[in-house]
Amino acid sequence: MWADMADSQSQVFLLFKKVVEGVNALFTNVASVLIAAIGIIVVAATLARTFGAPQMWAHDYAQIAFVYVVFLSLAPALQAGQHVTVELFEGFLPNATRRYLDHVAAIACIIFGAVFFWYLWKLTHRSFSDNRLATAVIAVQLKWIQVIGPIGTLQFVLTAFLRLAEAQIRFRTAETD
Amino acid sequence: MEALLWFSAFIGALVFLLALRIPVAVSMGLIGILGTAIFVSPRAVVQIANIAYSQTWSFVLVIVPLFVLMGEVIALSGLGASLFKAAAIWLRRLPGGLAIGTIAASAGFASVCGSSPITAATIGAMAVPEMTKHGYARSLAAGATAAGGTLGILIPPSVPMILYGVITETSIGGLFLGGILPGLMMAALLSATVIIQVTMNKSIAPSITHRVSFTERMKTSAEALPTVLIAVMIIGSLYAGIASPSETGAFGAAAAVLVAFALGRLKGGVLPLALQKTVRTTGMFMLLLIGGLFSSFVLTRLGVPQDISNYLTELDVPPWVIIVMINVLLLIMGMFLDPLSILVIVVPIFLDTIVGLGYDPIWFGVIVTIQIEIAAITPPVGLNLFVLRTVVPDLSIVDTARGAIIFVLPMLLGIILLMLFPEIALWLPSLRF
Repeated sequence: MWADMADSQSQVFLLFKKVVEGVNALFTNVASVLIAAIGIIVVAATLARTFGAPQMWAHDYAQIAFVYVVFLSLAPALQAGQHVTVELFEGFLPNATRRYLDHVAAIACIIFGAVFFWYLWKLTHRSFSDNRLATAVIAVQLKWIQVIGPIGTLQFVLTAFLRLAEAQIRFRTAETD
Repeated sequence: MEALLWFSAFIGALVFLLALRIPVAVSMGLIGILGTAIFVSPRAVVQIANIAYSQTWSFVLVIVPLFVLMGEVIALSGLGASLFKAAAIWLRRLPGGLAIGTIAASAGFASVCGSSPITAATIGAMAVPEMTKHGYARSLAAGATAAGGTLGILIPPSVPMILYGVITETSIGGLFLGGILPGLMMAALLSATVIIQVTMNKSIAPSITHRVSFTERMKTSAEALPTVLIAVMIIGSLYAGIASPSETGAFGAAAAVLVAFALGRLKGGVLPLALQKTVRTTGMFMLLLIGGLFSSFVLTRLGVPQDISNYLTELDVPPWVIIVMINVLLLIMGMFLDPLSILVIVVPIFLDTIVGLGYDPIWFGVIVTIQIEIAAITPPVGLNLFVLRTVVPDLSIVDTARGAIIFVLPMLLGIILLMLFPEIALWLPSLRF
């Protein structure tokens, strides 16, 4: 029975990992396209302005794309271990404690991400409630800009959960060895 | 003094969280959340979301992915490495010519890339093996490359300068212009250090005697020309004011992609890889910015920067003594923290003091940038040292660190010169702004 449970846990983990990493890959690809779009929009708008036809909307589209890029990039950066850590101070900790550092770091990311998600959600929910327009030249409702905030941070939290699970697997493997 | 206690508590909490391997941005965010909930108001924690939305809704910060993309495309396509070939051919006859060529190539690459580790990695991957092949001491080869790489963040464009500009609300264009002359000065000082080292001990860099034909010189220079033209375009448009820094970033990225495509260097998935790396760097940068701004929001609400400023400006010592004290603190922090983290931790605390003492924020931005350059090559947390170790696998970290540490002296000399002659940093911005 224990073997069956362990097997089903492992399958759940693999499915979770596949979904989270798949979503991160999707986010990365979408953000890549948006960065390319920002470059094209800004170049086109600058050229248009130079030739006497300023396009006021261009900055707005570039900014909207940038908001999406930022929130889409948070979780892929976490998965890639890109968020800066400082390993120097670990030497001050007892050896027994160091074995749990990956767990602690992942839990800290979950807590931070959850609080961040909650407050982004509150602001975004307010934008959905009052349907206000964004401060921009183009007529766009703020909710369509802010909606990516909670989505991106939720994925950040899920990625942190994945890192926690991976830390636990590494820990158990080391224990078994 | 209450402010010093708060500051000490902040640093203590930060070190504790960093020791737990928690990312710097998350650590600062957690300190911000706890500090705001306890000392300001639990409802004020919503400020983190306000900061996130206000900073991301910014045309100024659109510059970040664009300049990162430009640097990545030039690095991954091999355009950056051609700079080293050209510089090495032209400068090889000087004492330590290949090392000086490495520094010159780094300075050139710095003008199309805003990152110190990318500069060190791009130039180092070719320069270090080339230098060791010609009998250069490994410590000199690695040290000159690590030190040359630091120019990546002083000569515009510069990712840390963008961060500094956003934190201090200083003109990013002004900061970029402010970095040009100090960057060239620093390249000259680093090169002079190589010449002095080689003059004192000729065995670390044997003379190169083989002749290079005129045709080969021209061919190699022509390969480096597109990157030089992109650099001239960026600096020229910033100086002439015909495009904002963000627009310049877009043109730089577009030019890099077009040139790499035209030269057939975009094969093998270079562009998708460059874009993916840009996405991850943007995520790292922006979370660090949000975490840093949120933790400094708490410190500001507690009156820490203001109290420290009052305390320091009322001290009965000349202003330069305080600047030296701040520099010593930056030097010490640089040994333990990565460059961007130093910026988000220290700058908000001391900016009021700097302005209160009558110094220009652009000048201080250049000084801080040089300090974080030093941080990039000082062990135990010298980012460039580890990056070089990654791209040149047979290089030992001891050799790299030993070779790099000597270059801290010219960097400190550069800071002293900037303190004595602030115009080095402020002259170009004063012409434009």
